[in-house]
Amino acid sequence: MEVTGLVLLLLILPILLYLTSRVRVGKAGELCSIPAMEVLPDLVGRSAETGRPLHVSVGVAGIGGRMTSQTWAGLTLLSQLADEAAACDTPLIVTVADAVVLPIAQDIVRRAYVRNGNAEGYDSTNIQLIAPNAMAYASGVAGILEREPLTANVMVGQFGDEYLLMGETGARLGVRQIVGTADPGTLPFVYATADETLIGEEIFAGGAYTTGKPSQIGSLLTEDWLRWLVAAGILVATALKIFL
Amino acid sequence: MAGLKRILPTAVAISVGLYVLLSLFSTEFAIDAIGTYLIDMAVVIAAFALILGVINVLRVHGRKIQEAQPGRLYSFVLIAVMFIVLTVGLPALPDRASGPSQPVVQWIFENIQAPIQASLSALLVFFIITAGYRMLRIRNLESAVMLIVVIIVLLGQVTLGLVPVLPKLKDWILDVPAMAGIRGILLGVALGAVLTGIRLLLGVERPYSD
Repeated sequence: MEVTGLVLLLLILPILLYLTSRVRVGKAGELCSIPAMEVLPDLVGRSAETGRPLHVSVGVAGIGGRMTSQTWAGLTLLSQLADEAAACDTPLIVTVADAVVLPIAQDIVRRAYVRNGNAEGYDSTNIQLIAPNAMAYASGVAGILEREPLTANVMVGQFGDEYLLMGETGARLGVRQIVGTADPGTLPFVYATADETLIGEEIFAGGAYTTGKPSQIGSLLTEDWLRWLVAAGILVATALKIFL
Repeated sequence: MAGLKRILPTAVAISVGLYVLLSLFSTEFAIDAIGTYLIDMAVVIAAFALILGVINVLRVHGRKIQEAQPGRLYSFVLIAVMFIVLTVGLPALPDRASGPSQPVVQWIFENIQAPIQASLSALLVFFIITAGYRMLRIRNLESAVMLIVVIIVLLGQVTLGLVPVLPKLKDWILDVPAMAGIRGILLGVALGAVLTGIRLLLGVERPYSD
């Protein structure tokens, strides 16, 4: 198993480096449109105009487990939103469910405010640890959605059934919701309650869409190449099964 | 100095990440032991992060009480219960149980926390109904298709079997298009997760430094 992992890693690395170099010289194609990514800057702008805060959640998972990549996707998006919020002096409420994620989220937001020359605008109490238990976290966030006059609710990360407590509360209150998760069991609930959805691996594309860095776009292209390889592998295996 | 502050976290993160990855592929005892030690260090850091979490909860809710913000009563209850559980669970006397195994803490968990969480889970039923209603309102072609599929699957589950073709159609929908969609999503997520991991390992994505 470990050897397969190592082979896969050694196979992916050159593809990633090659495609990143192609992006650097401007030989990458256009990125497909993801509506949820396109509305994010507007949300920050509207939040700045109204003075009402924007809520960001990075999911109920932590750092270090199986769901780390989903939490990281949420943190990447938070980094971009924090940059825009700091530039417009928009209030940002960030909620986390894991104590390890808390200092990371605080650091991301603090750096964004410092980067944008608005260090005094940073308030560490706007990044809140709600509860490590998923259901308790959901009820805590539902309370914030009820109490705070939010412009929008952006939730990207790992969510389970407890998502409904938050998503349905936001939908009932008419808060604009942009939600993304990779859990197929939660996606129907997301589709039912959110205005814009990020389905499955779309949550990992946040960095490429918001920052446009060659390394991020190269990574997306690598994902596409691997997707073609997997699809070709499935077709070949099916053909072999049928004809041999 | 500023350069060092920028480079050091990235260098530490990349080298530790690559070393732990190497230790996973290695059967050498020494390499493996250092890898395990680094993972244990992460657990220790997580424990300290919990203290930061408690401080954050105190600051956030203490401020709400101090500024008489809406919902301050809940904040007061939260802080009071936190201190009660901590105080009751802390004393580590020689012959007395402490922490989660302390009888009073166990009583609080069994008689307060568990029923509250069970009630919240039960509430999900009503949330599912309202979410289902919202989802099934025909807004566009996709919603209409979804509504038709939901009706077929619901009727296909009926045990009386008044329309014999429906259970077979339901099974086909669940086993073929639904399963294919889920597998497609899972494969995409797996690829996305692998590449996110590689980006982190290579230091391409590093929100921990500028």
